[in-house]
Amino acid sequence: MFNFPARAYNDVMAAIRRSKPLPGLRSRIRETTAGVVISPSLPSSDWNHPWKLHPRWVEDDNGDGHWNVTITPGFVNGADAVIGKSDKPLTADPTPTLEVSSFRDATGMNGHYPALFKKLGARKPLEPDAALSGTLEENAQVEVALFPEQYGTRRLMAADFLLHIDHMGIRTDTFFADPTTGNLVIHSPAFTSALNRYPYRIQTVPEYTAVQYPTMLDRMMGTMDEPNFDQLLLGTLWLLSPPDEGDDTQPGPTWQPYTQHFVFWNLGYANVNEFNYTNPQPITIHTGLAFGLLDSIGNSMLAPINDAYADVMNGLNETSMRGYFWTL
Amino acid sequence: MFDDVHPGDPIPKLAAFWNNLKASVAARRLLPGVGVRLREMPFGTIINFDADAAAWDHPWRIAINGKEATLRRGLVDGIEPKIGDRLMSGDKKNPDPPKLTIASSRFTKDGQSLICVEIECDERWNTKSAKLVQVARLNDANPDSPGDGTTPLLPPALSGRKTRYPLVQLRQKESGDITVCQIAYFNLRHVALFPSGTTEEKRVRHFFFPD
Repeated sequence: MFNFPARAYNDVMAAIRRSKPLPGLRSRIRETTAGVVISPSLPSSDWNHPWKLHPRWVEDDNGDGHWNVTITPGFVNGADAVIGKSDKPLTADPTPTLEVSSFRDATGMNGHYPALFKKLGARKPLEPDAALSGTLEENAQVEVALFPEQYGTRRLMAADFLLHIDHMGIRTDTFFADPTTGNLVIHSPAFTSALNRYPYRIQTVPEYTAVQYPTMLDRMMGTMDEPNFDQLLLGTLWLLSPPDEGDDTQPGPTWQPYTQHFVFWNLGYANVNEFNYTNPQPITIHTGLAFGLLDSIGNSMLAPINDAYADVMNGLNETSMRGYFWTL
Repeated sequence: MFDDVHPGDPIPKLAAFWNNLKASVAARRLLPGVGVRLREMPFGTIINFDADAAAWDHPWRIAINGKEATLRRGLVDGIEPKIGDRLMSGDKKNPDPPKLTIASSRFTKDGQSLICVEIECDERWNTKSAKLVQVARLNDANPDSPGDGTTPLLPPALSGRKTRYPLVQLRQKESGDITVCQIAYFNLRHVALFPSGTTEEKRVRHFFFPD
């Protein structure tokens, strides 16, 4: 007969209970059927990564105020970025700030925002009223949600922060030529000069729109106008209002700031600095027949072919001064 | 782990089960590793990670003590840079990592200085050697007499098939204190490229990537 004292049983059970891992400082516990995963949990606020946004409400002397953002210094090719319209680098002392003066209304007409804010009580973005844009036909079916989505009444405003780099761009200039020389319309690449002296600059805009680079068709059609800058979206400042905020109010000190980041590392950047273009020579004939008249007529007939050839070459050359980013 | 126990099983089997259970429970006791602190409570064990354990000890991480800096070992194309004539992480004879003396003469008028890795390339533009230097600007030919120009926006093509990449920015405040901004967090890889149709040394472009 095997006997064991109650104390032994209780000791084992106590040891089992004690060995249950519980999350403490900077730790994360995840229980699975195969075991318990223990990992360190570094709060996001501890990792002060490059380009991190730090929003702050600043009150003016007259009682008004505005939202300011300071940014953890980031580097491009190891060089400082400057902030706003100033030439102050992010590493300057005192730390330069960027005033955020214009926002987009993410809960306004056709607004959109991350799902997190719905949980935090953001109101539903306004949509165009179907009743205003058309009339319902008789017996039309109307969808009624059985479980309508739950939205709050808080407004949400946002501003984007981007890295802006000026460089020379490429456009297509159009010239009309003498058809007897073998060309009718010449589309020739040309430079668009860079605007600013210092190329790495952080700006804020209500809503970032990705830079549109020319397509192959633009190059072949002779309508290329490459932007003379590159941009990279660094982050977004979201400001969530108290409940039941009016439609026309601007973000104030009672609004709750949230930051969303898209870049967490310093950057490398290089743009194409090679003007990859060879002037295509038109195909012409030189026979001297009929005192050269036939050459002129023949070259005029060849002109559309030469134009098309030049346009195809423009497309294939992909002449560009576009820049590219990489994390470093 | 254990054989299942069924009603009517002989007692010796239950004893084996019990012993296995005890041994298993004992083996699953949580023990603290480096940077971990445990606090055993009757209802469980609270696990705390030290802040230091969570911090990231990355390559090129700088530590400054007065006017001397040490950097954690980093590599460029697998080559460990030197400080002076010693490897930056120390060597067998002297395992203490060498210190880089911060020279006050190697700051710009704005109070900015850079600790860089300077690499020298061989005839095929592969990295031959690397060393750590402090410069006011990346393209200062002579670090001891900094020029008045601006910091170049790309790693410069220096004479002797050399180039530099900044690892840390130092900024001297008006109070004299030096603040540090880490630039490089990873080991680096270097590529030298030429515009097509030329191998002119001064037209080379140097690119650095994380390794």
